[in-house]
Amino acid sequence: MIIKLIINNEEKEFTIKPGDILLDVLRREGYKGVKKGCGTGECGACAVLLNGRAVNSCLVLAAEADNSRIVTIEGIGTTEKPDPLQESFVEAGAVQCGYCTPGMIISAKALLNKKKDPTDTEIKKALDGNYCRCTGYVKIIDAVRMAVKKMKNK
Amino acid sequence: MPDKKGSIFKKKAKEEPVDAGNLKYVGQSVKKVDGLGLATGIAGFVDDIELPNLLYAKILPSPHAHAKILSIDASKAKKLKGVKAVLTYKDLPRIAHTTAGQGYPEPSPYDTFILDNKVRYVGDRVAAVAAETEQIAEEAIKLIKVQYKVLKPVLDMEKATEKGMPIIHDEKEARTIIPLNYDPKRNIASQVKALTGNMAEGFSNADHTFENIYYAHYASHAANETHIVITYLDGQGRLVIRTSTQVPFHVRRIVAERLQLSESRVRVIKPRIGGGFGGKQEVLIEDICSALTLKTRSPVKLHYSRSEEFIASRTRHPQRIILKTGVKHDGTITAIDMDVLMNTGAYGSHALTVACNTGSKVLPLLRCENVQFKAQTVYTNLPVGGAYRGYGATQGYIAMGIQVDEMAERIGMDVCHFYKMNHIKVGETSPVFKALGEGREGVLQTIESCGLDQCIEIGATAIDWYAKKERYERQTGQIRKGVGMVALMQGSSIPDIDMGAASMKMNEDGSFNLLVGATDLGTGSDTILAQMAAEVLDVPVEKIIVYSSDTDLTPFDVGAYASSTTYLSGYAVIKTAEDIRSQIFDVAAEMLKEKKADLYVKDSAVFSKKTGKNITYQRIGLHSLYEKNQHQIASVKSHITHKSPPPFSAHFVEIELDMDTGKVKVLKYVAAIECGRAINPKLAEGQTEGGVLNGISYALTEEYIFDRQGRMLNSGFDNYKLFYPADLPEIRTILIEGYPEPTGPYGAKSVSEICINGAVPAISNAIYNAVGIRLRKPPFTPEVVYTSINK
Amino acid sequence: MLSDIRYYSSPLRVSDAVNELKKGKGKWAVFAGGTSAVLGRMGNVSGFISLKNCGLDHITQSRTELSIGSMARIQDILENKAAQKFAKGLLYKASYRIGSTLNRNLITLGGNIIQIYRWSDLPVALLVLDSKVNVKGPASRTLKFSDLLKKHPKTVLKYTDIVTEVRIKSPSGVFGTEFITFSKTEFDYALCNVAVFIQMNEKKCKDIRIAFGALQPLPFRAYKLEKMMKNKVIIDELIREVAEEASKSTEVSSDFRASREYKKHLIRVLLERAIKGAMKSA
Repeated sequence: MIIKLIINNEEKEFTIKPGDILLDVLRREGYKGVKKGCGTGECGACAVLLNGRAVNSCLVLAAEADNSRIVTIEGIGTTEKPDPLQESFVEAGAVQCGYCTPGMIISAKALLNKKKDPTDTEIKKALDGNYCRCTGYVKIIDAVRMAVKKMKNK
Repeated sequence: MPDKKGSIFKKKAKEEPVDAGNLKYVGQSVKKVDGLGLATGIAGFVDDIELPNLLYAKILPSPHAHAKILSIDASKAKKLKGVKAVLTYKDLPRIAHTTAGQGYPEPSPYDTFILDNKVRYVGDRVAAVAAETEQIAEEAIKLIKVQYKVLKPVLDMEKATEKGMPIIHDEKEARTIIPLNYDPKRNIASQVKALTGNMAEGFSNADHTFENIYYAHYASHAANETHIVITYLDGQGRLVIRTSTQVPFHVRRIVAERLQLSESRVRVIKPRIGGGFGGKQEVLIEDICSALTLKTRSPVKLHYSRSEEFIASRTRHPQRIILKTGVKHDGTITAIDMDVLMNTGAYGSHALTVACNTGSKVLPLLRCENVQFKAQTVYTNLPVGGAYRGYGATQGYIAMGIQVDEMAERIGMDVCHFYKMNHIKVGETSPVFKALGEGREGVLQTIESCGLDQCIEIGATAIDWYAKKERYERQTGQIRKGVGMVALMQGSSIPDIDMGAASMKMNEDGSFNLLVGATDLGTGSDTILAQMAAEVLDVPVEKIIVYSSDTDLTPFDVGAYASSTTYLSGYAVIKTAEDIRSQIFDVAAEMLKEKKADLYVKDSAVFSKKTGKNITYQRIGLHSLYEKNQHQIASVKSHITHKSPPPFSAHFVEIELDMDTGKVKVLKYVAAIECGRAINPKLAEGQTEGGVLNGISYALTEEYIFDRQGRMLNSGFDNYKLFYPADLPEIRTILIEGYPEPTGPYGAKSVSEICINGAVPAISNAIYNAVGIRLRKPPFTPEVVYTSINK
Repeated sequence: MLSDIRYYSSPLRVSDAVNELKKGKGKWAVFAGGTSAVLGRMGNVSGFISLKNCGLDHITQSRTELSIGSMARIQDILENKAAQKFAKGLLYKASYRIGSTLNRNLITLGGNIIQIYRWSDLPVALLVLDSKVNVKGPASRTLKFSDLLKKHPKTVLKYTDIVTEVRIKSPSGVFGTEFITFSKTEFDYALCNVAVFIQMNEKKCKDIRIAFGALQPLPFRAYKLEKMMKNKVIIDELIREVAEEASKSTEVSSDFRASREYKKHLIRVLLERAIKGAMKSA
């Protein structure tokens, strides 16, 4: 079957099988920033925005995403024009191995799209499905706070 | 005994005193050089490339803990459409090896085969398939018919050496390649003994003796990126291994050996790595994937599932430690007797060295003349142990950290004071350094930097130790609080064994390529190495283009383990950059018509002290490559070390304990750490915070649960409980500065491993403070704590 | 990839979806949030009929009831003002710890009650609220939620049935609620969860409903315990007695997550806390 998606503001059409998983389709189509950590919805490395909501793309059937808007980490910002969240993750020391980082930033982005000034509890809750072994999360929470400040000053 | 080679820096320091005020890039929290690429999702991990005709590999795992393969029939699998290769033990050379990614000659026993006619744990490899899609590979696996003769398994390490137990490694090839006390017929993978002083005398001088049994349990490294490798042939038919590894050069050597290739026919590329923590100091899946590529001549990918990662990669070695100590009324420790029984699982990866480190990284912390250390590592039919951040010290500090608390309590001394009184000091040595090495005798060393007293003082203040400790001793009610602490040391690299090297060249725009074999696996080593090079050359860090690691391109490095990269590879980078600087002076002297001795570098330029004349790196670069006496300014330097200076740390924790459910919640954790000079404070903090949280969940919730057949029941993130952001307690890292290590690059020591060792003992001690119960067998899950309180 | 799945459709109306299910003859399953489906936990199915285009994602409150569409996501329940406050926050509390944000954005109310798991939180709360479930199919009907859970919902319903909505009567009078779930970490399956709804008349318990989850394959109401409390003046002694009885009479078995004894102990502790919590909120 053929599905139409708007990925990072670009219209795309993919031929898929009914049993295909969105994570696999995205990676196959070159969105390598979407990572596979567990394949069972328990690590958040594959998070994308699906119609504005942060979801584990490993738990989304590609067919079900037909006609959706998807934002992957590649659509959040680039090295030339990074998003304040991406800058903050680097500046705060929130990136170690970086494997969880795209998913973390996606979850944080979904939060900041809704809440301009989240509390620490809200930040932790918004990232509650994003696993990281490297950082102990301390600097990840710092980074989200730092991004909030950056966005306020813009 | 100060050594000569290790003190290069010290001598230099006398000529050009380096204090923090003079440093421009070192000691600064510069941004990680690969940070933005990772944060934008473009930095390439192993799986982030596309190769034509890529095949997918799958492994058939053993359903039995211990069995002989009577017959194996892959004919149906081979016939399945899309299947390109099936490998069983019959198709591969039978070469005993170790999967431990250690330097040659490895101290781990050679007891593993790429595929064997015997399986030794549930999940052990039986066969491998390469097929056009993952689904076909999975289907093919199911079509392989295997007849097993099921053998009795050994599932209890405490019974592994008993008479009548089945022999797990009864194959004739099992051996060690250096003389070690290896005894597979008794399921013994390694044994070691060390003694200094006189134990009987030590104990007879004691006013109090302590003896207890402590345990350390299995754990998964749980790196976010599971083991993955892609193998293919290059334009010359050479084998290329693109792999998630901490040890690219060991991979080259070991895979070449296993597949009977020469190293020149193998290239190993380490791209970005999604975390290792020791789990990727293992040459684990590269061999079988390479064999599939050699058989099919196609690119092949093997990517472990999360479940395979739990079961069939590597784990923290469980241990039982019987610790006996003698102490005088005044707090003097008169004797320490540590007896370690370690479970290495089905194969002896790191079986000797992890056990040795349980002694060598723990015992020297406390002054004591009479020390005995015994360790025996046994085989069982359970998942395989390996290198895991902390490497034996984590296990050892469970015993020592809890027993020190017991000692201090018994003699009525505050434990902080007890540590301050007893810990090793600058100028002192420990007989244990010499007595215990890595597969051979250790190396005598004297402590030249130690900020542990300050770690203890500052940490105690940060948690409000004295007031809380006393207040929490007498509580009633359902919710109780407690504080606990522990002091720690580790090491920095393996002396006289590890080697790191760097190469560097200058470009015409005044930038530099820095090629290192050192393996950044997320730790930030690319960044701190760039900072050191930038410091020597006085250029912005962006002008240092770091590349790690590729066996065709970068010089040798043992890899990222044993807390060695900053200390060891860092020094190699400094030497290289100094040589580059010298070559720059040569060109500048010619261009400026000045004496080389009068030149110095500043802000990407060379200046003359005498005339003030100067010239930019850009001009020098362009000149050297295009204008006159053209040559490449380049250098390669190596570094070895004769020391392994320990970083020191004091950890403090405050917990809350629900008496009704037994649930322990960490409220606050303070890690005060002295790692010499932190090259990049933010990254050093990050290492500490990550290790601390890993330690906390290891203490409270992480565990392997097996059924009676040795099958792991919780091989997923659903039932193996790690901490997520919502579980995060307040963690405070305090870097104690002002104790530069004279033998370290810019005064640095290691930081990455020490931080994981504190949580179990500190939390156990805090539980004692809260409810008066000593827990010596983690994890302290709600049920364990509740049951212990209500015994 | 789910290699067994050969068919997928997303009809625009529930009635069309029902017809599709008929065509599937039991081999095609309703696709709601999809998390269980993608994890291959739907059993032997070869096709999915998605409800995503059928609406069904409303959360509306009238004077008498709260009505939640079966395709409403758990995260919507958490973020919806009416749902947050409903029954003194009971639904909010019971939704708060389901999966993680990344999964709550996918998991639907309908999926959560039909594809029910031992540890599911929300059904336990729905059991103590007077909830009803609207079902469309060849025979459309309204079921009491407790009837839906008499056996596994999938055996109570036919393969052509689609749950479209859950309706919960707004509690009246002086009432209180509590929901407690106990697990090792925040993102973890419950070892035991309990919901309590209590209506008070002065110091007396006018009505009480107690439900447990995670202890048996399906959550259940504890009628016997409720009887012990109804029309009684509630004192600590009685609560302790009820908790003790709960611990004694509830059938649980050991598994690798916890022993039978510990679970029985948790029942006692959590029920006591939940009753007290519910009374406090009344």
